[in-house]
Amino acid sequence: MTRFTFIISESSLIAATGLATILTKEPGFQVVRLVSNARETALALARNKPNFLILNPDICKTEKSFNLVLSKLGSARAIAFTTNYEHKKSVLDSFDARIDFFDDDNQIIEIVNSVLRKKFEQKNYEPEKASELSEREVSVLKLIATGLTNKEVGEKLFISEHTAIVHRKHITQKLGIKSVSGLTVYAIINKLIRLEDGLPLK
Amino acid sequence: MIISGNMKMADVIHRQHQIAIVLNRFGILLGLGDKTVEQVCVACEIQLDFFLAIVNVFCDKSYFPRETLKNFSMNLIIDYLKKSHHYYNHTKVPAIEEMIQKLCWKNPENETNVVLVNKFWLTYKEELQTHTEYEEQVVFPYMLGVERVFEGRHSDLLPSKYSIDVFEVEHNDLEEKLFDLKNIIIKYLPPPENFDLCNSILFELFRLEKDLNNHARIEDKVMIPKVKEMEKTIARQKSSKKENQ
Ligand SMILES: [Fe+2]
Ligand SMILES: [Fe+2]
Repeated sequence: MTRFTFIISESSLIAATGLATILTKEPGFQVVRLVSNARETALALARNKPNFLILNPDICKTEKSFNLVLSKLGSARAIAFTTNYEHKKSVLDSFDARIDFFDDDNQIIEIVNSVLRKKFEQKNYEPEKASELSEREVSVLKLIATGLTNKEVGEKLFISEHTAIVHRKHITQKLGIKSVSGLTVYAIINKLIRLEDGLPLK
Repeated sequence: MIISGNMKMADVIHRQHQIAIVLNRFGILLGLGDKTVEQVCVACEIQLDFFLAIVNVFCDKSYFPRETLKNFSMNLIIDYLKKSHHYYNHTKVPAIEEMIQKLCWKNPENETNVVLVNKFWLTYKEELQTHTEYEEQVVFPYMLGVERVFEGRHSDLLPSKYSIDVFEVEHNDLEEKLFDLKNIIIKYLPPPENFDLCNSILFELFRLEKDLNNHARIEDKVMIPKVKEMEKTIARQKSSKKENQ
């Protein structure tokens, strides 16, 4: 049987344990760690390389710590666990799905399964789908390729850093290129920027 | 399959040919006859448990040398890792670089591709060098320091505020750019003139990626847990000392 591993990142032990109990009832689901702050989350992601991270965005006290967690996701899917309604859309956009504190067990399992289905659909269809970047993504790509940080990209395009990160994630998924230098090469090959404008590849 | 000391070394290689690379790093030469893994290790003065841990981590993603971990000295682990670093920096990278430099396109319009791929490879090469240098100059010396304190050969506090946790978070994977380069070649570059060479480059990239992956797993699953355990014991000893005072 395929196994899927989870890390739950939530400051309330009661909520975390409850969530873990619900998840582990599903055959093949295994909760490998419960953590309660951003640093531990980053560590656990690096160490356990789980399939899923269920994260309450509230445990990240700063934007920086939230971005640290995002950067350690690797191939893990991120699901938000929300206990209040005051989350910025840009924060929620960084997640593949959202579980709410008031969701019941069936709803929770269904949310996770829907992410799984999405994941496999993507895997199957990816080779066929031509990776058309949207206009917005092209403009983000151009800026990244010239060496701008996510924050600078956000400032230039009047969008938040989070939105810039989300665009970047989509670009990476569509092109299959993760590193900045790789994106630069892509942008030059496709004549989106000129060789001399590219991030100095040293 | 878990490899054990009483298997024939030759059989092990037949089943898992990638192990041949590992043998090299241990200084084991071919011409193995019917010797068992244990006999080969004894003849080459290699600690059997350590050899088994390395080859098993190498072959099996879920393997973890729980029982034997405490028996490995830091020097043993470091020596192995350094040898593999050397292999990447001084054997693999130059070999791939040579092939990349030979890539060519008929159409002069594609001149930039040559420049691009070469430059990309150079940035990767630097990344690999920085990564391995950092490990050899910062992380390994720190680990040896921890071991000294742990064994009581050094009564001082740990060398710095550094801890292996810091490294665990920072430890980035070296496969990312290789993955990108493969996709650039497979998907985005116009096909070069010498496509056999291009294929060989691809194969080499796949192979290096896999090897680096295994290498990182040894760092994450053998080296880091070992240091962590020692750090914990040291911290425990320190706090019990304080209580006694
Ligand atoms: Fe290394
Ligand atoms: Fe490393």
